[in-house]
Amino acid sequence: MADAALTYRPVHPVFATRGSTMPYLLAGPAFLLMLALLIGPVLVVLLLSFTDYQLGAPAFGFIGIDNYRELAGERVFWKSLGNTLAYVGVVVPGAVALGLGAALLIESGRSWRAFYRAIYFVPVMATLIAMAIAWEFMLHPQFGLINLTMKAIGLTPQNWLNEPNLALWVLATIGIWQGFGFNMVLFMAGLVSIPRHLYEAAEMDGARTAWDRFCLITWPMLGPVTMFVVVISAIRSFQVFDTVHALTKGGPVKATEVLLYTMYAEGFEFLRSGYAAAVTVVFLVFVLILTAIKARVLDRRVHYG
Amino acid sequence: MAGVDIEQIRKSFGSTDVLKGVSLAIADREFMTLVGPSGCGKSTLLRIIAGLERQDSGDVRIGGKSAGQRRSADRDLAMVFQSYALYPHLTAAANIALPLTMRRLNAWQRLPLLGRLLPGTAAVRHGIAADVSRVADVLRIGHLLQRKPAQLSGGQRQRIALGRAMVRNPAAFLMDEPLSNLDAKLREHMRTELAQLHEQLETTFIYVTHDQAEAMTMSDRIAVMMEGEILQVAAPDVIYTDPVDLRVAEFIGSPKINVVPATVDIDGRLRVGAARFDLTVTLPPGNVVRLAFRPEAAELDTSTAATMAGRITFRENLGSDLLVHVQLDAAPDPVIIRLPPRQRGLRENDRIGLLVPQEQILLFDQEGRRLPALPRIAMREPAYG
Repeated sequence: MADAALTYRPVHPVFATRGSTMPYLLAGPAFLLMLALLIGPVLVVLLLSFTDYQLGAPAFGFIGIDNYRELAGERVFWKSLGNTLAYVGVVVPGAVALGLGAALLIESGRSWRAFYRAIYFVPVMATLIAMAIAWEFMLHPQFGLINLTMKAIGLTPQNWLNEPNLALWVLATIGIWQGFGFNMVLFMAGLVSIPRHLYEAAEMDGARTAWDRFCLITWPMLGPVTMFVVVISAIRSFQVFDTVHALTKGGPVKATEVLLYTMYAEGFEFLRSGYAAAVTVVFLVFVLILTAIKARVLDRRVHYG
Repeated sequence: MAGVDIEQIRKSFGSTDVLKGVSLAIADREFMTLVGPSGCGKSTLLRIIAGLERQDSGDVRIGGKSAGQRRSADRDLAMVFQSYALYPHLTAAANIALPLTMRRLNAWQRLPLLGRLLPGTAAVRHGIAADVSRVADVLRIGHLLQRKPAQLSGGQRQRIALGRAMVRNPAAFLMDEPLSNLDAKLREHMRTELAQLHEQLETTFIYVTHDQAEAMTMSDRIAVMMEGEILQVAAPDVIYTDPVDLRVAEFIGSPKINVVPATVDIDGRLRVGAARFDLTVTLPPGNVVRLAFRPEAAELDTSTAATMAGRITFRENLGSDLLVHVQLDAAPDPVIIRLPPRQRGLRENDRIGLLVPQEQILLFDQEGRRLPALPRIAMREPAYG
C-alpha cells in the first residue's frame, strides 16, 4: 500500500520533461565526490595491479596479470589468505556470540546497566594500537600479567606471541575482545525493540524456560540485527592489521601474516606497489562479496513488518 | 472449564494503590466483563489472574484450587492481548499450534529438523495439526493459515489470536480489550461473534474493556470497577436499571444518565424547581439529593405538577432517535433526552415540559450512594379533596 502512495507522488515541473538537465545537476556533486573519493581510487588500484609500478619509480609498464600469477604461486600469499580466513572464522562467531550473551545478561539485569554497557564498549572506542601495547605487556613471556597468573595457579606459562601455533589465536582473542562490545550495543538496541507482549504471550502459551523464550522470540526477532552484526564483524575482521603490526609483524614464521599486512609489507616495505595493489584487489573482492550478501539479505528483510 | 475466584486482591505500584482488596466470584462458563475507565485497575486485575503480574496479597482460585502463587504457564488459562501478540516470524497455523507444541512436545522434539526424526514427534505433530484445523474451522480462517501475521488485516489477526487461545481448551479465556484496535464496524461484528463463540465453547470468559457497549452486549454479568474497587457486579440489565452508585449509573449508558439536584420539601416530597414528585427519601427536609433518569425515560408532557420545564438548546437527529439537549429552569447543566423520530418537529429554543415516570427515577445522595425512592402516595392530601 505504501508503494501505491509513492507512485502518486506529484512530479515537480522541473523534472517533468524527459532529458532535462536538472536531475543531473542536482545529483552531480554527490556523484563527483563519490567518483573522486571512492570509485576513483578503487579503479586506480585495479589498474595499478596490472603494472610493475614500484613506489617512487619514474616509469612503469603494464604487465597484464603477471602480478596475480605471481600471487597464485606465492606460498606467503596463500598462508596469508588462510590466516585471514581462520582469523575471521574465529573472531566472527566469538564476537557475535559474546556480544549477544553480554547484551542478554545486561538487559535481564536491573541495576548497573549503563556501567556494564560502558565497560564493554571501552575497547571499541579505544585505539587498538594503544590497546595492543597494553596487551603486549600482559602477554610478555617473563613478566606479563597472564603468564604470572598462570604460574601462580600452577599452569605452564606460554610464549604467547612467539609460538607459531598460538600467535594467531592470541590475536583472534584480542580481536574478539575489541569487537564484541560494538555487537553488544547493536544487540541491545535489537532487544529493546522486541515487544514485551510477545514474552507474556509465550509465558501464557507454556514457554517455561529461558531457553524456550530465547528460541521462540528473542532469536527470531533478532534475526535482522544478527545478520547485520555478522556481516559487519566479518568485514571488520577481514581488515585486521593494527594488532598484527604492533604485536607480531606477521611472525613468527608468517604464522600471523594476514592479507592487509602482506599488502602493507609489499607496498610500503618492499615498495612493490603493483604487487600490493593485486593483494588489495583480492581483499576488496572478499569485502565486496560480504557487502553483496548483506545488501541481498537485508533487502529481502529477515524481519517481519 | 472452571470458575475463577478472586479473593481480596491488593496491588500497588510504588505509592499508588491500583487494587484495593478486590474480590469477585466468576462462575464456570460465565462471561464476566470487567469494565471501567482507564486507570481503574481492570487490566492489572486481569494480569494478576493470568499470573503476568504478582499480587501484593490475596489469592486467585481457579476451579477451586489456589493458583495465586503458580506461574502463568501452570494456570491453564489462555489470553487474548490487545495487540494480539502474534509471533511475527511464524505462520498463522504455527501461531495457533504453539500452545500445543509447547505442551505436547519436549524441548528435543521441538528442535527444527532433528526433532522431526525423534520417535513419536510425527504422531504428536499430526494431532496438533488436526486440532489447529478444527479451530480454524470454527473461526473460518482455514484460508489464512499459511500466512504470516504481517500479511493479515487487524480483524484476521484478531481471529488468529482467538484461535491460539481456543486451541488448548483452557480453564478460562482472558481477554484484554481485544476489540479496541478494530474499526467501529468490525468491532460491532466481533461483539456478536465473541458472544456466540462463548456459547459454543462453554468456557469461562473474563473480558476487560473500557467500552460499556461491549460490556452490555456480551456479558452474563458485568463488574464495574473504579479507582481500584469493584462498585457493582450484576447482570447488564440490573447494572443499567438498578445501579448502586452514581458512578456506575454515569459510566454505563450512552448518552450519559441525567442528574439534576432535587430538594426535600417540607412535606418530605422531592422538588426540582417548580416540579414536585410523589417520591420521598429518608432524609429530613431541606436536604439536597441527586435525581437521575435515563435519556429515554423522559416524556414530553406539560400536564402535571411533576413536569420539569426547560428550553431546547441543541438537537441531534440520529435517524432512529432524536437526542434533545434541554436546559431545565431548575438545573445548572442541560439534560439530554431521547425522543422518537416523530418528534423531529422540535426546534432549538422551543420551550418544553419533561415528565419522568416515578419508577424510572433513581435517587443518589451527595456522595453518590443510591437512596431508596419511597413512593409518597398522597398521604398528606386531604382524602375528601
